[in-house]
Amino acid sequence: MSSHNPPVVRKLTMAEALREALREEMRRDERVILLGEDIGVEGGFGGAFTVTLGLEREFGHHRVIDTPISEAAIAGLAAGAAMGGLRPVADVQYGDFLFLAMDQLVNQAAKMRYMSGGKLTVPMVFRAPVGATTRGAQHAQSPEGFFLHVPGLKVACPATPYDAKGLLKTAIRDPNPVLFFEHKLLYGSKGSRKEAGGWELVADVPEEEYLIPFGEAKVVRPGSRLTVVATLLMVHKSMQAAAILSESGIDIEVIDLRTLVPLDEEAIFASVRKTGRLVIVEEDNLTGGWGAEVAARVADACIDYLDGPIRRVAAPDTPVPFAPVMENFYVPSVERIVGAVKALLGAGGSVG
Amino acid sequence: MQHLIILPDLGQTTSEAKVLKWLKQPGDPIRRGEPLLTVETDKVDMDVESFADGFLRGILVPEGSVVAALAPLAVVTATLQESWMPPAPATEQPAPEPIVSREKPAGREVPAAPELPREPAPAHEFRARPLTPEQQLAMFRRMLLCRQFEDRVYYLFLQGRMPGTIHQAQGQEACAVGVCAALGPGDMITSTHRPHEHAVARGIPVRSLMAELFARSTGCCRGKGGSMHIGDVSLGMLPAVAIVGGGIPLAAGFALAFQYLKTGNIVACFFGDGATNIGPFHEAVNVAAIWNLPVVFVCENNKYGASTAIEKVTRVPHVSDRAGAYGIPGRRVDGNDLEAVYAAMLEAAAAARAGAGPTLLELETYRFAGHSRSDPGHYRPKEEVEQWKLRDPIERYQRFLIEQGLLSPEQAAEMRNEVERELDEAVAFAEGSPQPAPEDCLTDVFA
Ligand SMILES: Cc1ncc(C[n+]2csc(CCOP(=O)(O)OP(=O)(O)O)c2C)c(N)n1
Ligand SMILES: [Mg+2]
Repeated sequence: MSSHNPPVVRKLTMAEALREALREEMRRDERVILLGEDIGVEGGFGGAFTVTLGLEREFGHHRVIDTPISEAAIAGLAAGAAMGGLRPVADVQYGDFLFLAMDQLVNQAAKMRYMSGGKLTVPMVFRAPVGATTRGAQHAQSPEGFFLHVPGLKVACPATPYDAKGLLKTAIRDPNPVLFFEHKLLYGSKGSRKEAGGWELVADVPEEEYLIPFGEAKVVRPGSRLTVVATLLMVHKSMQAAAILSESGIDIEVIDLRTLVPLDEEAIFASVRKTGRLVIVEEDNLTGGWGAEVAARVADACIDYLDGPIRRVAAPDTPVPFAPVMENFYVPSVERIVGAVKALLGAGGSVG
Repeated sequence: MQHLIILPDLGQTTSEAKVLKWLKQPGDPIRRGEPLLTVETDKVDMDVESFADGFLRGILVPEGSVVAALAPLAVVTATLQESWMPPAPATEQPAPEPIVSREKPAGREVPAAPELPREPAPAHEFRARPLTPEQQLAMFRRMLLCRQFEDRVYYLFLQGRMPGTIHQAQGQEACAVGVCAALGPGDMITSTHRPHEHAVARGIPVRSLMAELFARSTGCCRGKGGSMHIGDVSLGMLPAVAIVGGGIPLAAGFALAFQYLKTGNIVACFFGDGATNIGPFHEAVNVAAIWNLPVVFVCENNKYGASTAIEKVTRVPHVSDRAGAYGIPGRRVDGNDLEAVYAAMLEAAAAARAGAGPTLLELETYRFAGHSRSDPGHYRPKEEVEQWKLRDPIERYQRFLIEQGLLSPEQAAEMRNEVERELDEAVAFAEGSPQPAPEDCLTDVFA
């Protein structure tokens, strides 16, 4: 946040910050439209997580467009309209439903620019709520890793209201298709939720306009002994782990990647070169998640700086279970992060 | 007997609410399911209902105050005479000052029963059918079990005793029971995110359903599935599919196996009106049509997909009209008329068994509750909800059975009590069952 001219700052939830980003961009640019299920119904919900609540009143149903339950069409409509000159922001109610839209996202939206020899742009945003919240296997997945593997798609994953607003505005102005992942337990409401770990879900967001560029990770906690890289909810759990570890004198650095594509390699490499140790924390299944890609790149670029193996804390390779006792075991916990850090420092022979 | 009314968990993005208005005052009689107060969240205004019959005794939070999810709101007691206590404070906060403003003098012991809707839908439209009185009473009882199961689950949510979310089907009992009554033991059903009544109608034991909702290892999916995935393939129900339309191709595929293996069985594929706009519906119905697969496509048209009215997202007036596009019969049936549903399903099932291929059955019905537990349903006109409540499939069939001399009001009341006892047992079984071990989540990934 700029410091010279004290800005008007409000406490916003992530849902409110995202809504504000949409509102500002819709006011700024008439080509911005919203597409999704239950997003603009009077007396309705404002989408599954209230992000679009009330926007139809300001912008009308021709810009806040309620669709049938047709995820493939929603994605294709967004891509088609984007090529046709609009700036659509579409959404699915749960990230798991992205799989219904895969052809339009992967074969169409992502490849059009390339197939056209660079003549086309597809400036669309596709928002998707992710994360496990005791709803069972089909309303819980964290599928960010799938999209990392698709050349032509950008991937954003904000952890705070401030970043969510700035990144969404950037995503809307980006000339490429952007997958925009939001964590259900971070949408927030007044007061903090028990299952969200009790952390503060509202945060300072200035009234004055700002954008957050893609590909710039944020060091949310500087530290010297070890680097933790995380996204979304896992940033908050990693911060809790850092606080616990600091009580026993272990000072770790926590990096929030903020976007996975583009990936801020330099921020990760610089931190690892400083600390010599890396723990990657993600809510996705272990195999083939974004953490695997980060680990490979760090191994490639920083192997000489590493004082120990690269560790990943991730969900096991299973679907998401329903029962809370199993889900709590499945989703990486603060305790597991603390354990991984301690084990790694122990292995390196220098527990503080 | 003292009951603590709490602010229910209102979903993933709501952690607190403001008390707008108390609709009852201390001393007022209250019935289970009746609203006690209105609260305002950052999204909507909604009513909080009592999960117990009795009398409102203590209001623990005044109007205008903000309370957290699961925080105590009020105390209800079974009788007016008994004394009551505010709950012990959970944290270091001081005990809430009970607002015991004006207890009315002790009146009648039992709160008045709610009045039944005055103008019932005609109950005479049932044609004579080859159903024995025993079958009719059994189907009636099964509808009661569906309804009372849903109501019980709702009250358990109000009490904060169940994890996750629920999508309930009160009002749609005639669809579930009418369809399942036409199936045999080897047949299969597929279901949706709103599967409780399908499962109960299919005959999955309520204790194993209840245990699943309680996330216990004795549940029908051993705690791995939850509300949106209940089912038991050995009892004729695939685990419910919570992806809208996702179960429709599976139903066609299961029917392909039945056809190939010449089992003579059929699949009844349940889905909502909203599901008829998703690609897999069209692909699967077409394939089932061209291959004459033994499947019946059962659309419960309850007029809404979440908050979206079907007519806003579909140009044809009736879901059943779509059958023509695939060259199969489409039938539109009063989905709140138990025997009409049963008759239509029997006919469609017979055709499917005989190799004549699928039928698209459109059952016109209505869900009385919101889309999910945290939805007060403000997108539906109040009059519309009231109109449909007059067509309550259970009240209608009860009147019919009484008119036919097959049932007395006393017998109906006794049946309801019996169902309550069955549900008491199911809840006790579920709550007494062990939780799965955390590491159990690692099994069952591969066969
Ligand atoms: C593919 C997919 N898109 C969206 C959703 C979110 N969702 C769950 S239920 C529902 C409405 C379904 O309406 P309908 O098919 O009519 O069934 P009903 O809820 O009325 O029983 C929606 C949009 C989902 N579960 N799956
Ligand atoms: Mg519906």
